[in-house]
Amino acid sequence: MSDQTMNLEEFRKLSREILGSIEKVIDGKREAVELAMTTVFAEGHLLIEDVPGVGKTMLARALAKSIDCTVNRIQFTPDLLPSDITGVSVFNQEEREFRFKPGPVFANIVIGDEINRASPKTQAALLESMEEGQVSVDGRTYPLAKPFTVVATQNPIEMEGTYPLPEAQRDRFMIRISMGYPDDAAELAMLSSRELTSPLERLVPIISISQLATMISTVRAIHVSKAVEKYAVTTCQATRSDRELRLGASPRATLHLVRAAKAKAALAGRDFVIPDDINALAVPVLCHRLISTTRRAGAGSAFQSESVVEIVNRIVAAVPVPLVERESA
Amino acid sequence: MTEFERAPVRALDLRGDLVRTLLLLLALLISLGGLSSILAGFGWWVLCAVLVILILGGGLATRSVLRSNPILARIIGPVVGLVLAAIAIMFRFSAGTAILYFFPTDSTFRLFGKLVRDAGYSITWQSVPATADEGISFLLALGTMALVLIAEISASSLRLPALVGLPMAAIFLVPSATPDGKTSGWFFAASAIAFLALLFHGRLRQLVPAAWIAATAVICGLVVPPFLPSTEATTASSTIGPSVATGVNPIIKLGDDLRSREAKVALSYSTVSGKPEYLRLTEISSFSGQQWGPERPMLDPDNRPVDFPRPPGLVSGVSTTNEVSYIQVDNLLSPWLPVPYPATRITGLTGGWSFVPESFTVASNDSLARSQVYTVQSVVLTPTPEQLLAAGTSVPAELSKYLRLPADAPAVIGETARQVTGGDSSNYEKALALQEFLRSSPFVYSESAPVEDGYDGTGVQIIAKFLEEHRGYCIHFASAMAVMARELGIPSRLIVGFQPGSARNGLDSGRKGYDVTNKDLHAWPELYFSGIGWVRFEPTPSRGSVPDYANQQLAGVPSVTAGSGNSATPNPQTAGRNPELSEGVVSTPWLDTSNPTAWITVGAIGTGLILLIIQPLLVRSIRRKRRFEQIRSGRAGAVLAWTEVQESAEDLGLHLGENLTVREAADHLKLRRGIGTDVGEAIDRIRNQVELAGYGPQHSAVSSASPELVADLRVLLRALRQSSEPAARFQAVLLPKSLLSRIVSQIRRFAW
Repeated sequence: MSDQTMNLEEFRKLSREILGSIEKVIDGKREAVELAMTTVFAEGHLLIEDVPGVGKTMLARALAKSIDCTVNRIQFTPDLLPSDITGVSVFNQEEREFRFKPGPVFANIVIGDEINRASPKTQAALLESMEEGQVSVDGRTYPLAKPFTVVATQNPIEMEGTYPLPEAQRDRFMIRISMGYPDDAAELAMLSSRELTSPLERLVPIISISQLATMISTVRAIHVSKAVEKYAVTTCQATRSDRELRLGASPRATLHLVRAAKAKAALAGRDFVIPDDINALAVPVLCHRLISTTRRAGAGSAFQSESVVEIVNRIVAAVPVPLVERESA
Repeated sequence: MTEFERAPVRALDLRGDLVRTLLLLLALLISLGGLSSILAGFGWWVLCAVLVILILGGGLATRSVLRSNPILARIIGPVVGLVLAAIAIMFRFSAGTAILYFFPTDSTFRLFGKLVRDAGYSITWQSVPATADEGISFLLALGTMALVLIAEISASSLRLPALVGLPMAAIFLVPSATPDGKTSGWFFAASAIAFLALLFHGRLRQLVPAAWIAATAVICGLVVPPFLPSTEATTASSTIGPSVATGVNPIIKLGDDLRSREAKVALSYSTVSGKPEYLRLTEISSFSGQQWGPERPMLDPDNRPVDFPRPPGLVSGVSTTNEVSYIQVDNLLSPWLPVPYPATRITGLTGGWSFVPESFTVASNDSLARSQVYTVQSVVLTPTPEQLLAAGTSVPAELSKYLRLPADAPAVIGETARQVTGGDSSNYEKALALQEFLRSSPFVYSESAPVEDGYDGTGVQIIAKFLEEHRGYCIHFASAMAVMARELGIPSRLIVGFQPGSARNGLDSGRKGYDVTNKDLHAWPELYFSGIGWVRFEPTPSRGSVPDYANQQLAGVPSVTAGSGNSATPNPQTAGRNPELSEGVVSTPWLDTSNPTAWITVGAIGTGLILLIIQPLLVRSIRRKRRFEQIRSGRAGAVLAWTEVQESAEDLGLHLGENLTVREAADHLKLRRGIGTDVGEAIDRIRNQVELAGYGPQHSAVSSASPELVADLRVLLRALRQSSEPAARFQAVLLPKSLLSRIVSQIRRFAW
């Protein structure tokens, strides 16, 4: 992976183009789209949680299609096996040895549709590869492609025969977004645009895989001041001591928060992170990892987390922003 | 650089702490020493010093014991000091009424109440320098404890040594508020040096507020006091409406009252006979020292003024007529009661009044003459010249006190007296000669001449000067005659009171009424004649009335035509009301002399007040100016600019809380009514610079665009002011909230 960085102006231009490309498919969901792009540039994994038919898969595919990279899609079903994801070693009769046949996880962008429908064992196979960036089959380790991003979708309504992701697994996703219903205008526009062909078909890649790598290393080079780091830590720590939360944010959450903030800063054309980036990302980065004390039932669903969103917003509003006060330093 | 991290509370540096405490001790002890201008002796200072040492030492000891927990130590330190000081005060003042010398009982509180009351009397009656008696010491101890605690908390707990200037200034203001009490410049300078040392030991950054506190203290302590009216006048001005105040020493104010532009009614009276009368306030019998004044009377509660004894020295044979006076005091702030001589019975008084047997003056420890309405029964003595002549030169031995002359009396007084009375043999003839000498040319009544020539006031040196200059007012004439009489062996005393005043139009309950104003304040001598007692003379030309027995038409011929009493009746129109008319011919009108003083007084007080009021404004604008200067010169960047924006917004009542990010705060500002797009752009530019400087990479933190930044800052601040209500702007100018919250945040940081 290249350590090359690019000019922030160029970064911004390219990201605008990707945004425009995706918006040809997803109308009026700029916030969700930007968060999705943030995840990709921050080398995180994205969890899209919402009711069926609002374009979760469409967003994932549009994002994948705008980047010229390998994309695999896995439809999760209850009978899906771990090896259906990671791949299997097959005995080659001619060469008289086992040869590894890579599974769909070997791609730059892996779309996991309805991840909660698979058995926990299968889910775990994907999630482990997400965290480690590699797959172990029959004692051999195979590195995954770089960059590597999993975009998983989850349907919170259908509870029958599903296995909601446990907290530990949810923690591996950097950002969780909900699509939400489109507004009137967007829905009307969608009707006319989908009349003839799917707009997804017309999408062409905007950036190459090497450009994506450059953009990712650009994000890595974004400056985070001590003050902002401290602010992120304080915010995450506040969730751990909050009375209304049973489970607070993990240290991994803090890491994800800062990394996502870097990507957000880069998307805004800024070469440093400001507290506002942290604030804006607190809900998408933190909420899916937290469990509130008040409502146990349906933990983890997007609807349950309404109260968690409120709690996170309250915490963000209460944590003092590092004061810009150089003269007393 | 972790510039945003809250500075951790540093572990206490014990050595520095010791030095700071010693400097503070020095500063406080020196400023307390400044009280020596109003308190006599040394004991009170030792008491204060013990308290200071206890409080500061308690704090220091606490901080060194609790050095592992500096925050706790800073909180507990002053508490320990307070407890130690309280124990000391209890031990010193509870006089065994407290259990184990510390836990107060009912009687302790009663005792303390009594001490406070005693202190009140003591302060009222004592002249400067006062003796620090038990009451004053008690008040002093309490005040010291409070001020030192403030100093200790400021310097050691809050680490704001500049604030120590406030209690120090308070100590210096005590003498300034006392008549004749002037803070010694040496004490002031010494404690200022100690204060500065304390500040240098602290951080230099605090020098600016310190300089302002010091400036205020200098103004209050050195410049204003000479112009301040004495305490009496201060008391008077605090009451509603014009009032006449005499204080405990009416002489101090007498000249001012005579020269004052407006006549304020002090009291009114009517007599059964319809004749006017002199009303005495107080007696002065000791003629030593620079400033003569009445002694603090030993008031015996048994000497109720309902039953006076026989006037001293009066034996049968002198014809007396009974007189009843109805006196209504309006607004006379005086612990002395105006009473004719000699009274026999006073009824209708409220409060505790007692008479002084020797002088027949009536005074109170707890009441003022103001608003008293009372009836005085008195006798009018009309000794005949023959009787006075018959008194010869004999003087009873017990009156030697009234013959005592100060050792430094200039010889000219005695020489003049003997020269004037050359051939006279009897005391009466001598007295008449003295009176005639003073009432005739070249002596001229003048209220202003002594002030101009610098011999206003009392004292034997002043009298010598007066005999040379021949110009003065009642004090000079009366004291000259009294001292000359003593030179000739005639017992004499000086009386301060009111001349009869002017007749009021119409009748009051069928009686003729008289109004007495502050311009009727008067002084006259009383001389003692064997067998007759004390007799009034009137040496002041154009003032009051000469009694029949001392009428000058008959000088040297000791016989009085019957019925000539009417000629002695004062003519209120000329004598009482307008003494300055006859005066204006020979010297400058009093208006000219009193005017500049009045203006200087008003100007000085006004300047002082204005300086006090605008002090926050000055501090705030200096801070702002300094910031602008730093930004313009590139020494500071956008972060400082942002601090200024935050503080300016706070001044205007717009709190940009610490939970807001720079961006949120900037958006908040942009939403304000009256902020146009150009200002919005300026805000955005400032915001970007602030974010870059505050959160950006180090190499980009150096701001290059300082002129633009300054311009944008100016635009923003102006727009902020313009978008605010006039009331908020007014407050922002006079009482900037950001200054207050700086102090509060210091406290909070310390308590965190």
